[in-house]
Amino acid sequence: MGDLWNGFAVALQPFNLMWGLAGVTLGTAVGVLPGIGPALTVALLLPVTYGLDPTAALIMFAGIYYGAMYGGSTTSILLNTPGESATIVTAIDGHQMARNGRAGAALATAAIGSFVAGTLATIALTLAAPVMVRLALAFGSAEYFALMVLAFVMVTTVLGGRGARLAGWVSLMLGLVLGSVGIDGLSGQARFTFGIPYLLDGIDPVIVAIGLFAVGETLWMVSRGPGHDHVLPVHGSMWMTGEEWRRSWKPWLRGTALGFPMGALPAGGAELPTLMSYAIEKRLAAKPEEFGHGAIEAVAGPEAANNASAAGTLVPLLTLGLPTSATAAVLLAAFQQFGLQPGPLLFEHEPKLVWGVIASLYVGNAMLLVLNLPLVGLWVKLLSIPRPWLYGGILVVASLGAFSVHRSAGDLLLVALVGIMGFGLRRVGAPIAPVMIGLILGPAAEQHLRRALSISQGDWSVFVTRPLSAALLAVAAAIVVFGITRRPTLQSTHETQ
Amino acid sequence: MLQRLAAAELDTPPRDTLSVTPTTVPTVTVAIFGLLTAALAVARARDRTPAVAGGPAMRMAAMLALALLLQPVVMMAAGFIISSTLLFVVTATAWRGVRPLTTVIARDAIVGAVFTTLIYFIFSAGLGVSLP
Repeated sequence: MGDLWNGFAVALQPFNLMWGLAGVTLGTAVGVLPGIGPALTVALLLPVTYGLDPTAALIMFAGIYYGAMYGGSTTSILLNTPGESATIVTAIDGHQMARNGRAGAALATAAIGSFVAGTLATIALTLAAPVMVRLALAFGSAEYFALMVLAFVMVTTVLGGRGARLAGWVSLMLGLVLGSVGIDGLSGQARFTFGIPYLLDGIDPVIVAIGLFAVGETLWMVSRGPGHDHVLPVHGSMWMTGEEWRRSWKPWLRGTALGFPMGALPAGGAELPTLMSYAIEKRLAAKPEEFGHGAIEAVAGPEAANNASAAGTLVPLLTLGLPTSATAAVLLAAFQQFGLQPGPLLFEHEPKLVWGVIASLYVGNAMLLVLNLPLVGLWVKLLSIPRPWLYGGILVVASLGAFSVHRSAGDLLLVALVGIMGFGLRRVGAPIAPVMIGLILGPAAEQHLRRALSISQGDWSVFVTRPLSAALLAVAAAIVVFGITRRPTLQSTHETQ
Repeated sequence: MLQRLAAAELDTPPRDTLSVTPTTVPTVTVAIFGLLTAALAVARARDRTPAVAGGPAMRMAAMLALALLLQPVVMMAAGFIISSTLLFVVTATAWRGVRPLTTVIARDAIVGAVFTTLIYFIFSAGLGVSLP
C-alpha cells in the first residue's frame, strides 16, 4: 500500500497531472473518432515524446488507453459505427437507445459504468500486481518462453473468428517474420536484411503499428465504399432515471468481473469480454426481448467490461512484460523506447515510475468521468468532421509520424508496404492484433528459447520437466488441438437480435 | 585431472539434438508462414464465397495504395507540404468513391493545404522535427 501512496505523490505532481489530462483528453478524442485508436495514437506519439520524462510519457499513454475506452462508446451510441473494436457490442443496443430518445441515459450509463469498472479494476490491478511480481520472480527463460507460446496461441485462436483461425495464424507468423528482421540480439548475425543496410536495425514496431492501423485501416474502409452514417442528436436529460440506475449497477459489476481477468489473459484485449458480457446480460435480463431494441443492460455491462479489461491488460504487461492486446504491444514498445523492460525487476528498480503510472489511472478515471459526462457535446462535434477529410488527415499525420521516427523516407515506404499487407489480411478476415504481438514478443520469445536451451546445454526436455513451463505449454497445446476457445462471433450476436 | 576433463569433453560431442543457431528460428517461422499462407490461399480459392473483388471501391483502394507507395519519392522531391496535401486529396477522393467534381477537389486541396501547413509548423517549430 505504501507503494501506491508514493505513486500518488508522483501522479499528483502538477507536471504529471498535466500530461495525464493531455492523455485522457487525447484518448477520448481518438476513441470518439472512428479510424483512429489508442494503438495508433501511442505509436504516433512515441517519436515526439522521446525527450520527455518517461514517467510523464507513460502516464500520458496510459491515459490514452483508458480514454479511448470511454470515447469509443460515444461513437457507438450516436453513430452506430463503433469508435473502437472494444465498443462494437455497445453499438447494438446503445444506438437503439439513442433512436428511442434515450441517448443521454445511454451515454451516462456507459460513462458511469466505465468509471465504476475502471476504478474497481484499477484496485484489482493494485492488489494483483505485487502478487504477480512475486510469482514472476520464479520465472526462468523456459517459463517465459512457454508463457509467450501460450500468448501466441491464445491471441490467434481467440481472435480468429468466423472460421478464420488459419488467417489468424498467418497474421501471427507475419509478425514473427517481421520481428526477426535485422541483427540478431544474441549473436550479432544479420537476418533477412537482403544486404539492405536500412534493414539492419530491424523493423521498428512504431512503423508497423502506423502501417497496420493507419494505412491498413484506411485502405480497408475505402475498399468498402462510401458509408452513409449520420449522427443522432443527444435529446433530453443526461440523467438516468431511478429505474435505469437499478438496471445498470449489476451489469457494471458483472462486466467488471468479466473484463478484468479476461483482459489479464492473453486473449487479445477487450473484444471478447464485451461480447461475453452482452451474452450474460441477455440471459440474466428480466426482459430479454428488449435486447437489440435498446436495453440499458446491454450498454452498461459491455462498457464496464471494456474498461475493466484495459486495467486487466496492464497486469501481465507491467509484471511480466507480456502484452495481451495490440495497444499493450505498442505500450511495451513505449517502455522499451525509454530503455525500460516491464517485468518484476521494473517494480524493484523503478517503483516510482510503475506506481506513479498505476496511481495516475485512478486520477485519470476521475478526469474521464468529468470529461465524458458534462462535456459530451464537445466530443459529438468531433463526429461532424467530414469522413474524407478525417481519413486524409489521419494519413497525413501518420506519414509525418512515421517520418519523424528516423527522418527516413524508407520508413514511409515500409509504412505503405505494411499497410498494404494489413489490408490484405483484413480482406481474408484475419485479425490484426497477432501481427503486433508476434512482432514485439517474437524476438523476446526466441531469446528466451535460446537462453533456456543454452542453460540446459541443448536439452529440449527443459521445457517439459519444469512444472510451470510444462503446464503452460500443455494449456497452449490443448488450445491448439481442441480449439476450446470458441469465439461467439459478431455475426451470431447480430442474428440473435 | 584436467586431462581427464578435457578428454571427457571430447568424448561427449554436442548432443545430437536439434541445436538452435541464430538462423533456426527465422527459418522455421518463414517456412510455417509460407505453408500457412499457401494453405489459406488454397482454402480461399476453394470456397470463393466473398466474390467482391474488383468494383469501384477496390479500384479506389488500389489507387490510394499506389499513392502511398509513391509518397516518399514525392516528399523527397517536393517537400512535406506539397506531398501531404496531395496525399490528403487522394485519400479524400478515394473515400468519396466517385469521380469527383473539380470544385470538390479544389475544396479538398485547400483544406488539405491548410491542415498540412498547420501540422508542418506545429511539428517543425513546436516539436523541433525537421521536415523536408
